[in-house]
Amino acid sequence: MIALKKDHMELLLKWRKQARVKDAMLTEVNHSLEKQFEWYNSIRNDPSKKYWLITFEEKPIGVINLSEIDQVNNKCSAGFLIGEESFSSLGAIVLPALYNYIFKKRGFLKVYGSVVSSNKTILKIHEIHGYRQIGYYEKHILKNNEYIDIILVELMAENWLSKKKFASYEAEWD
Amino acid sequence: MKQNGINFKNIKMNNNEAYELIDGVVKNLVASDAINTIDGFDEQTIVLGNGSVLDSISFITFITDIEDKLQEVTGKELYLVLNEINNFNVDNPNLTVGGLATYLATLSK
Repeated sequence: MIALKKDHMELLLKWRKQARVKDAMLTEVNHSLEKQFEWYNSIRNDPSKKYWLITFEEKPIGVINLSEIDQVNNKCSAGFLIGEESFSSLGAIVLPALYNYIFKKRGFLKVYGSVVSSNKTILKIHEIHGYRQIGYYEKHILKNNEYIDIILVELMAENWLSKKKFASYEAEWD
Repeated sequence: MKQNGINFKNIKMNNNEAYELIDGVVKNLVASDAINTIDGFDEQTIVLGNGSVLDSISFITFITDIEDKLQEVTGKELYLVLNEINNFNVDNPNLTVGGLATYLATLSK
């Protein structure tokens, strides 16, 4: 995984504006490239966030990230998007490499997050990876003029590390 | 491990055997409702890329089950590394069952 750079913003913006990506995300992006550069400047030196470009044989296919990195309590959130639609099946494959990085290399205790309730695919992927649903916020976000529910999830280190079938999924992290 | 009196340890598969392994994994996944029935499943069936019959959930289940089955059959811990598969064109990704079978056969040697 290559650390996200300013040069990647145009591609990332194109991916974020795709309907299938918008539907899956908590936030919608409709802004300009200038605004995208502003976003990049806001995250690049933020110690609570880390973004990487996902590449497959050097072809950029998506973005994966950590956010809300809390080195005191050893927890973080994680996210990803596969921008190149023909690689969208790899969504559930790239996450195990990230979890091995989080739990083995960084030594974190948990990953936690929020999922749009209509995103059944990622909820199922989370289930396969060992997440548990801990609750939900009802009508928590206004999206497309409709209030939507948010499911709260977490994955504990001991649960992930007990899943031997994903132990070999590794990646290099810039 | 023995099945039907045949020792499957350290088996090196040929392409046909690798195809049979994939076919067996798919049949098990269909039987357990992990994936939908794949009409006309054969060596040309696309499992990754444009026209793939597998979504992201099915794909990870498929891959991990193949790795489990590979270990069971060959007695070796073998892992699929997708970008090691020959003829996989990243600009027009299109991994077929036949291409995967050839890779598995190579991997088992």
